[in-house]
Parts: sequence; C-alpha cells; structure tokens
Amino acid sequence: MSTQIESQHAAVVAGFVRDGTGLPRPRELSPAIGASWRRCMIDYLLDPVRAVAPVVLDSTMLKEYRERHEELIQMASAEIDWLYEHIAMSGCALLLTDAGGIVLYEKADPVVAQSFRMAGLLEGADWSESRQGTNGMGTCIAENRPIIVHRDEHFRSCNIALSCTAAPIHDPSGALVAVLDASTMNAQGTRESQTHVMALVHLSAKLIEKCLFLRHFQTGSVLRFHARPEFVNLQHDGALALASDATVIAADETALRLLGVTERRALVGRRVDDIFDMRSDEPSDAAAHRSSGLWPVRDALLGRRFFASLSRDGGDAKLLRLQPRAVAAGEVLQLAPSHSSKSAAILLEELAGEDPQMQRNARSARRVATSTVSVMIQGATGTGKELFARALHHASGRSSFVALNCAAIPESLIESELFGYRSGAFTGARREGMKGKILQASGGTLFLDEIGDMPLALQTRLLRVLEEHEVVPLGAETPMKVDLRVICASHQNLRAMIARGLFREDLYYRLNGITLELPTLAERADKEQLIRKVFGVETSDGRPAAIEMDAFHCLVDYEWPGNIRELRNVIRTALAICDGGVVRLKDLPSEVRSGSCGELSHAVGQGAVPSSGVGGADAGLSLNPIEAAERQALVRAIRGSDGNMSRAAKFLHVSRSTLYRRCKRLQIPHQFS
Amino acid sequence: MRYRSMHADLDSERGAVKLAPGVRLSKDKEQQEASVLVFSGGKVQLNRNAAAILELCNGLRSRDKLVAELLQRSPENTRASDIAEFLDAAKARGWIIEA
Repeated sequence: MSTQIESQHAAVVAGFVRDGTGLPRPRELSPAIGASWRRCMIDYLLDPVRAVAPVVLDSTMLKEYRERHEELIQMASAEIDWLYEHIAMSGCALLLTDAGGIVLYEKADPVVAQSFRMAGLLEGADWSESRQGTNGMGTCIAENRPIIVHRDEHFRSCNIALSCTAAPIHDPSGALVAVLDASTMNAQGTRESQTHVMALVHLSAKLIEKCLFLRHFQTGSVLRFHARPEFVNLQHDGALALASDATVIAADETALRLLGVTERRALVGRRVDDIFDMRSDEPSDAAAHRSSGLWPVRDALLGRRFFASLSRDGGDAKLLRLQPRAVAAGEVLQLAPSHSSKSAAILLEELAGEDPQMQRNARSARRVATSTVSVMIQGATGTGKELFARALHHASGRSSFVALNCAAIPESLIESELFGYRSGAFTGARREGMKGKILQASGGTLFLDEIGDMPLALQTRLLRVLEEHEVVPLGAETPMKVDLRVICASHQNLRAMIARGLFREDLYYRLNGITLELPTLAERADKEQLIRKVFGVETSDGRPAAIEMDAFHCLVDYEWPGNIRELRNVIRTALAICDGGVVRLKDLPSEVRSGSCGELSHAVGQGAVPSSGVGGADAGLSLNPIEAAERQALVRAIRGSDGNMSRAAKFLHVSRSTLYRRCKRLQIPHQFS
Repeated sequence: MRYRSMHADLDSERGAVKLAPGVRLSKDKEQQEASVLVFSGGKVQLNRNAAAILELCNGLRSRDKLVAELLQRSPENTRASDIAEFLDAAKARGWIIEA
C-alpha cells in the first residue's frame, strides 16, 4: 500500500520535472517547490523513489559542529523551548540546523520522538537539499527564505509523511547561519493549516537573529529605532551597530526594511547622523521622551519619524556625545560635531603619508589653502575626498566647514538645502524658515560632494551665486552677501558629463581652480603603512589589539574596491567580532579572504603557507604543480567557509564526501582554520 | 631601604606575567604602529596599546599590577576589562605565561 503511494509520488515528481505535467488535478505546485524538485533531479541527480537515510555525523564530529555553534545553540534553544510551548500541535519536532543543513539541536514531543529518529530527524543528520531532496530545512537554505514543505511536496517518497515549516536565521552581515524548522509526522491538515506554524517559526527565527545581533555587538553601541516608541528595544525594532565615531558597522534586516533600503551597503559605513536627522521638529516630543530614554528622529532620506534609543557599553565615553543634548532655547536635539576634534585637525601631510602622488596633492592644496581658489577633488569612492577637503579647510583658517552630498539627498531637496528658504515659502516649510548651506558656509568652506549629481537647473543657480557672491533664499526678494570658498568632489568624469550635456561647462571651469586626483588604496605606494595606521587609528580609544600576520597580509593583498572607507569598515567590524582583541583570518569578510589572499603568493614569498598545520603538512608533501594548485583551492574554499565542509563542497560544486576524499589525498587536516 | 626594595621585587614576582620562551617583542621606534610579536609559529602585528601591555610582560609584575600601571598611565583611555581580555587571549595563544 505505502509502496504504491511512494512510487506514485515518484512518478509525479519525475513527470513534473521532465515536462511540467503529471500533477493530479486540481493540484498546483508552489514555484519554490517546483524549482527545488528540478534542482534535485537535474543538479543533484537524486532519485525520488530511492529511500536514503540521512547521513548522520559521528559523535565526535557532531560535538565539533556543536562547539562551533555553541553561542547560536545556546540562544536558539531558549527560543525553541518557548516555541515548543506555543506551537499548539502535538507530535511536533523543532530543529535547528547550521547553514549546511546539519541538525545541531532538536526538541521533540517524547511521544513521537522515536518515529522522528526513524525518519532521520535527529541531531547530526544532514538535511541539506543536495542530500535529502526537497525538505523544509534544506530547501529553506537553498531558497534563503521561510518555506513550507508539506507532505508530498517533499522530493523523496520516503519523506512524504513529513510536514515541515522552516525559516532562515541570518548573522549581522546578512549571511544565512542557521535554519529553524518545525516538523510534524502524518499531518492531517492542508498546507494552509501550516501557515500559523509558519508565522510562529518565522517570529522565533527573527528573534534569534536579533539576539545574535545584540550579542555580537554587546560590547559596542547599538542604536535601536521604530516608528512607534513602545516598540523600541523590542524584537520588532531596527538595530544599527555603531563604531565609536558613530559610523554604522552593521544593520539588521528590520533596520533595512524600516529605512526602506534593500542592501546593507546603503547603511553600513555611513555615519548615523547622515542616516537620521537628529533634530526634532516638535519641541514637545523631546521633553516627553527624554525621560523614557527615547528621542525622536527623522530618517534623512524620506523624512519619516522614528523613535530611537542608544544602548552602549558603559566605558565608551566617545559615544556619549552621540546622545542628543537638549538645548533650552527651542529644544533642538543636536549631535556632536560630525567629526571628533582629533580628526578635524588632521593635517594634509598626514593624509599624504608616504605616497608621492598624495604628497604632491598636499603641497598643491597647501599652496592654495588660504586663497579662495576653488578646488576640485577627484577620486574613487572611499579614497577620502571629504577628509582631504576637511584637511584643506583646516589649513585655510576659515571659519566653518559645511558639507552637502548632492548624491545623498533627493534632487528636490538640494535646492532648499543649498539656498535655504524664507518662512512660509511653501507648504510644510518651517515657520522660522531655514538658512541654506551657502549662507551657513559664508566665511567658511562649502564642500559639495558628488557635484556630478547636482541637477542642471541648480547648477545655473550655483554658478550665479559664485559669480555674484550673493544668494537669494526661496521666497525671499532681497539677495544676501556671501563669502564662499568652494571645494567639490566627484568620482565621475565631469568632462565626459559636459560632453553629454549633463554638466555645465562654465560651472566646471568656475569650480575647477585646481584639480587634485586622489589615488585608490591599491595604487598607494604606502599601502602597508596606511593599513597599519588605520588599524592603529581604529583602536585609538585605548583598546589593545593585534592582527595575525596572515590576516594582515590579506588586508595588504586585497584590491579594496571601496578604498580606505572599506578598509576602515573591515577593520572595525573585525575588531568588533574578534576574540580578545586579536584579529584572525576568520574575522575578515570572505571577499577579503578569498579576493587576493593567495596562499600561493605567500607560500612562495615566505616559504610556508601562513597557517599553522597546513604549512607543516605542505612541507612533507611532494605535490606536482596541478595538485598543489588543487590543494590551495580546497584550502581556500574550506577556510572561506569557516571550516564548514558542506558549504565548502557546495562552493566547489562537489559532494561533501568527494571533498573529504580529496582532503585526505592532499593531506589537508580537518581543522586548520 | 635597599633590602626593602629587593624584597618588594621578590614579592611581585609571584604570579608575574612574562613573554613565553621563544616569544619576542619587536618594537619600531620610528613607526609606533609597527610593533610586532614574533614567535616560532609566526608573527602578529600589534597596535600601540597591545605593544604597551606586552612590553610590561617582563616577569616583574603580576597581572593586577600591570593593569594598575596602565590605568595610571592614561586613566580615561584605558579599561581594565580590555587589558584582561587581551591578556587572556595572549595566554591562550601561548604568547605569555603567568608564574
């Protein structure tokens, strides 16, 4: 009887994958399940009818896996206990797997625990999709989203008694680290009856994610926010981890969603006061919420209102300045000046370091510093254009430094930001009007970042201001005198934009008194010293820190497409997650590790692979060049997967057993990362 | 006087922290950020504060005295927990030993 059902199921699966037919009407298959079936048959060459018991790790391996995920298991198990109480369904098992589909933790109804074990739902079992076909845990990993795999949606006939609901858990960088799954046997209800379970599982997964995030940054500062004040500091709020200079080093998924951005890149690396406008429009708000430790903010992009709180490590005095001070007159909440006094005083020569091109730039900048000659700074993203502008401003002795990033605010706002407006100039305008950046910068320096993004119409107005040394705010009749020094920066080729009619030639010449080209980090002759210096600067708050040489060489060898900004973020993040202040290879993001961290180049250069264990094995081996290259590739893949063999195998497009076999042949020790 | 100070030195040697045999601190006076800890298995690049801590690991003071001394040097910029954590990490890696 049951074999008949099983072979029928196999025929349905095979028919569907072959030509999309064979589904008994009126059944429809969810696209995710269909895609998974295809992967199983075509990519993994699995046979739906063959009953294959899951591969289960031996106890030493399992222990190793569990130790590696100790923190995760500890946090998740508390949540799983809660979930177990709240999933009102008897005969259920809750499972936690790692990113490779290995079950790390299980909690099952004791009544049916035995049958779950028989079905392979036990700790140490490998439920990756490539092994077990379509199933809650494996397919959740493959799809990287919450999923229900109900009964005969499973690929293998032997699994169709199961009904699984699974949700992914991501680490602070957004990478999938685990899956939380609720499974039942012989569920009588329909697929839809699982949606309630889905909601709970998803909720728990999100909560574990939040705990992971907070745990990760427990010694740092985390800004938490939500549109409703009562939700701040609960699991539904958005969280941003901040470095001591208020730069965002990590953001959780809720933060992305609340701020309406799709990628972490849009937040990480920016200063928190670039993301939130910390001024309050309604004075009463500040007073009302000061007592609760929350303060009202608006996001700089869309102007929506949020409430925020800042939890921070007790000893971190620098971030105290982040917390708004209520100023009596007008109750305006303010941030500390956007750069600490130390970095404001940075010298042009300091920025130049030992790089010849930067030294030339510094000399040229010094020569024109005290004049009002316009300076155009060209350079790729993250090369330090604003920092250079600040150093130049510092050398000028002029009063204030006012910056406007033309790419960071909507076109429609650039005009009022730059020129200001009189009270009542338009609906929604502030009662007292607003002083534009040009007026604010009078007597000081106006820094226009990403000038290439300034709309053409405003280019005309800006040109007039520069020619006539006066500005007319929106809604005002009389012009006001200004004394300006303009520095602008762009990563775009403005000459090419002129040719395409996107940038005014006359403005270009007005702004381009001298042009300074900032070299990329990869081009800099003093790259190694610079990295050392950034490492020092990032820990200048008194923390002891060290970096292992192989990790340091990775930093030196990496291409740094995001330049110094990216370098600072990587170092900062590594320092935040490393153990005891010692940065190791595994604390660096995988792209930095795999990008150019050629074990090959260092092996040749230093006579040994820069990792204990591997080097030793290498020495006694006589490998031909092809084998040596293969060994390097495997080592790199395994290290890039933090020693997770399933992930490394997936990356290499081989099965896990093949990977183990090759490791054995090439004498790669199991643990060396 | 002389006797007393010698005695004090002897006292402080109990629980004293020092670099493990074969571990060497190489400080660069020109470049403050270029200090390196050298040992048989490799090298690590140190920042200023880490170098300052390891410099004091010369067998003359206990962990507590070391922390106290560093706290005294720059009270507002030093946290005892950071130092302790770093010393733990250094000990776990076999860079230092505590008598």
